[in-house]
Amino acid sequence: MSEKGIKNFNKRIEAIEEILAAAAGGDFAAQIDIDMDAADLLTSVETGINLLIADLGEEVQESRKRADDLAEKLELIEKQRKAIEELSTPIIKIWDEVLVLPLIGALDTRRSQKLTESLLTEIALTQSKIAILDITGVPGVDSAVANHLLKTVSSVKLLGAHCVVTGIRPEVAQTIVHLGVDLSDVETLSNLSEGLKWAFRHLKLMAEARKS
Amino acid sequence: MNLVRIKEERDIVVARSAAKKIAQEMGFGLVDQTRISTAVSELARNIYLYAGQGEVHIEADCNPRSGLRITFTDQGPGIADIKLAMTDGWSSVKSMGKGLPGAARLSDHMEIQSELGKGTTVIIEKWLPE
Amino acid sequence: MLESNSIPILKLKEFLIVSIQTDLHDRMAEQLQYDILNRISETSAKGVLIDISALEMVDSFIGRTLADTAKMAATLDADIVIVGMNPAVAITLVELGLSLEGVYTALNLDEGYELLQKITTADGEDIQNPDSEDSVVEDMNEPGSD
Repeated sequence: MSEKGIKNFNKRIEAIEEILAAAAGGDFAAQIDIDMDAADLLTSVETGINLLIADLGEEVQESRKRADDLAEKLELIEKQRKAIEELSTPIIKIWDEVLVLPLIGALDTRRSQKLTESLLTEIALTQSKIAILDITGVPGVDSAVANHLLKTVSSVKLLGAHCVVTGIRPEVAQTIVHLGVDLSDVETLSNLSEGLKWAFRHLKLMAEARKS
Repeated sequence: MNLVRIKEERDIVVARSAAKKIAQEMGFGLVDQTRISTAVSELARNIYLYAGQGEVHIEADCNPRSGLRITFTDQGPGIADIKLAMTDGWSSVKSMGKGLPGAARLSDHMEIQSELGKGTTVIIEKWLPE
Repeated sequence: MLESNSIPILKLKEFLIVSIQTDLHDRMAEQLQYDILNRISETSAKGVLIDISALEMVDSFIGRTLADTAKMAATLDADIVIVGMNPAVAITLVELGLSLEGVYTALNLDEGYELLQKITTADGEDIQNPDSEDSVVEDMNEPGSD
């Protein structure tokens, strides 16, 4: 039979099972004791298993390290994202009752919600009548971004202030029209200096109306 | 856990105030508190308008993310076409038709189960920002 | 909660002033609409300031009631300006899908008062129409067509 010439067959098979069970449980440190002086048919199997488990142990360690590195990197990215978020949402009070919000970087739902929140809070706090949203630094203005802007503008209006969007580049104008986004309810101007002129004209008109 | 029974129109106010209070205690910001109380107002009104009565359960902490889970149950007529009911501007009784889609937009997650003649369960979740 | 359903409506010269200081339930909002329209009719008021700065929440029902009241008041030759909406309320209303188009808004009572004076003293037929584009007044503070 196959057991012929193999010493302690049952005991050794048991040892192999134990080692495999340990490996399955994540422990790759244990190895099968091999008596090289009394090599027989089973010895090569035992050696093979030992090598395999050693390799597996190394692999697992390697991949754990990679996972740790990845988690560390993700954490870093998250930290940087937060830093960027904070850095890129300054609200500048450029004149009495005039706020400028220069938007830089991609506008997703989350960021535009945060922006709207800070802008509206600032308007309420300073009782500013005009907010200029400059989108020169926003790449890839698509229908989603345009809709975010529309929402911001609508909520500024509800507060009783006015909103003008500046920094519409020619290609942005093209995209907006191609996408069929309706910005007709939004005051849009080509650049920030036009926006400022608009704001001053607006304030002057209001002041004049107040006098009369 | 908090339970508000919707039987009359005033209970809508009770439900939304309770939700706002719990949201505030959990550390939600003012805008999120307002989103939550508004969504509760819309869905509690739906119970009142469509089913006459029902219940609003407000629970803190939902898996996998911590936040608020609010369950609206009624034994009303049920919704025949949920997809249609989720369409902006659609309404079968005198209302704005903003209830369901509006509440969905104000929440982070929404589930609707409804059976004609048996009733409706709407679950909304709002998660705390990480 | 108090059983009283009425929110006081004050008259100041040709304007009415309403300050909502309590959480509105539906019937209360409807009652307020009715009361405002009646007072406009009784006093021939030219404008109404509604201060909602104390409102912590405006849902679709209250939002629609306010917008409807403005439209109804316009048919009685009075303009309504909604004053002092909270940032959180404004954000939520827009997300809900309501932008109260055609309703005048102002940051505070002072601004609202000035705005009312402007729109009610400006000559021409388009005073009644917030969506008109011609008049100076509309250009300055008109809600719909900015």
